[in-house]
Amino acid sequence: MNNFFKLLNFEVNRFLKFYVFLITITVIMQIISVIIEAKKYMNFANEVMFAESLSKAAFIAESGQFSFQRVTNSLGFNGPIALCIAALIIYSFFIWYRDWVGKNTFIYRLLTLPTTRINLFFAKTTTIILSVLGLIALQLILLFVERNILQWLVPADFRADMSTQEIISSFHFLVILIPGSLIEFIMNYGMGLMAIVILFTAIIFERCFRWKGIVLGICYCLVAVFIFFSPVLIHTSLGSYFYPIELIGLEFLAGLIVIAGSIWTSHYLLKNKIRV
Amino acid sequence: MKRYWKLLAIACMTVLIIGTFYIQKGIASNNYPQFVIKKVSGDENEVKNVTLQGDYSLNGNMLDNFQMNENGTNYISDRSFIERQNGWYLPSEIKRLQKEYRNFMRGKQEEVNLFYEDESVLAYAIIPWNYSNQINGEISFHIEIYDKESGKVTKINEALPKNQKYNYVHVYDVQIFNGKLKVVADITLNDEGMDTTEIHFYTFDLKTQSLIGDDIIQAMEGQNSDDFRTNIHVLVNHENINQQKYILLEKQLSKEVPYQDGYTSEVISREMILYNLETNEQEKITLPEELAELSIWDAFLTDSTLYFYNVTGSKLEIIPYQIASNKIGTKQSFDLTTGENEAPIIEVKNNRLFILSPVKDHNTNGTIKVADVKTGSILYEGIIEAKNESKLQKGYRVNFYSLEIE
Repeated sequence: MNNFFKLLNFEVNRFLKFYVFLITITVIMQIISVIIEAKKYMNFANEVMFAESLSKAAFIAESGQFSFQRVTNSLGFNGPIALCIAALIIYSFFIWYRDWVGKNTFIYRLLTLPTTRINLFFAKTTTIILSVLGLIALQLILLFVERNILQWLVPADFRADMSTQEIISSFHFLVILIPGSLIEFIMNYGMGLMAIVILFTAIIFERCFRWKGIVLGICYCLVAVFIFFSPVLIHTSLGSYFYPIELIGLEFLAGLIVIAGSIWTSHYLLKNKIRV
Repeated sequence: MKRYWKLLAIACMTVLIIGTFYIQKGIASNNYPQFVIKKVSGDENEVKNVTLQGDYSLNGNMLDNFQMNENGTNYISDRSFIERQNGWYLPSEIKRLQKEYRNFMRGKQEEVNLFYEDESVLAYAIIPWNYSNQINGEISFHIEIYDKESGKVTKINEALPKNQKYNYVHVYDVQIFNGKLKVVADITLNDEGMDTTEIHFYTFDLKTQSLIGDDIIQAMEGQNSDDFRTNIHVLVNHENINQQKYILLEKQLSKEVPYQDGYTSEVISREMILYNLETNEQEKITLPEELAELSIWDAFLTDSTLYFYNVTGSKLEIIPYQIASNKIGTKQSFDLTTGENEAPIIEVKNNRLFILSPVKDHNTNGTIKVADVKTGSILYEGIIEAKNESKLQKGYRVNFYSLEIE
């Protein structure tokens, strides 16, 4: 356990500089986009009201109020989210491959540590998960801050205020990342965890067997996904056989099986087959 | 510990922020008003098993759907994830069947009319109609009968004639009389580009498990041309899973006539037929002159009586037609509290007539009445009001869609 935390701390600290960079870009770009959208709207409103001598109410009736959706639809808001997602996906690969880079490969030191090698696996998995959740927490805080900035910049009559939940529900992406209830959160991120674990197992296959390993890795992914979806396949082929609760329960079980199987496979590979 | 501060900081902040968000979400509810049914007079047991479906809007914006009973209101947005998996509009009969006969009900469509239940059996009949059999034209009956005592399931799969081109099939009702399973279905054929609807009354013998009868009622003579349309409408005593003898059909011949900026259908002639599922006999129903305007949609059936209802001004008239004697019985009349343009929601079950006003807002009360269908006496009167009427906002409006009695 102690070794796990040391490794985890090590992995987190390695990633921290880039992580802070991602956070900074997200914060800056999203806040700037809120300010820009608000000012754009107000300038437009003032211009139109002046040029066509419209009252406030008439302008609003014609062009609509300012809702937070204008911000969520803008590039300045979506861009950083997409960037962070892409960065984390790339780092899911890089977190392993960086240890094989160079002449005196670091992986040699890691593998000869007096600890079970699976701790390496757990440390890297936890780092990725923690990074993702950290960014979600960041987005929640940002939404709160951005709503307040909006209230500051756009007068009440022009605003169509949306609660945090409404903002999230209105944006397809966010609904998946920040689902409506705790159960759904656990479901979505459980599936995310499963995906990461499957990916890591495939990467380990590649590092063990090189070219053959890529093939094995891809096959492993397909098998794992098939096992995960097997309850749904059975359900559909028997004509909606399961009741919804049963299907959810079976899927949950399938997910656990896939995660456990992947960890066991990785453990075996790390112990016996990994090549430096 | 000092070296771990960055890790701990990230972990703690994350757990704190996400945790707070979901805890706060779990506690907060949507603050929409709670509506209840308050008794004005009569026996409150009459509304004990009543569920109303409706929606709540404010200043013209529909905010949420809800289901309510006499004790409170359940809004769609307040449902938990697990509750959401089970379907909002699941009829209570289906819910009960799924609980009592969990395995038999697997994979069955959740429609009450496809089932028949009595003390000894639970039967299900459907003609599966999906993408694949629309293409290859091979459709068949899929029937399952569950014997409650032995627990055995009998299956009957009978193919429909292959040489015809089917456009649409739909099962309206399933009944069992004296060891014979009856299936009422709409079979619409496509004949050289024209749709012809036929209503089939199939009879299956349960002992031999085969199809022994197919009684067809066709639409009125009259071309299905550009201007003329023929239709057959079917009225089934819906949401009722027990034995019913009768099905009411109406054949219509209508014509497209110009109306305002477009066209509308005008019914030129109609014929009402009462079909006895036990004996497979048909009977034409002729209504007296003053009731000629009433159609099949203004009716409800019981095993002895066909009731028509007529909304005139602020009164609701119930006109019983005794099936056995072919006579019109005494009219019952009820006062309505709804406005001229809003039809009340009417349901009949177990000889009880339920009348629900469809709207409740600042100027209109929502009322619910329960009367005895045969005698016309009012057994219960109640009003729908919010637990905190004074807190209701000015532009609110409640629309009711339906009423269900368990």
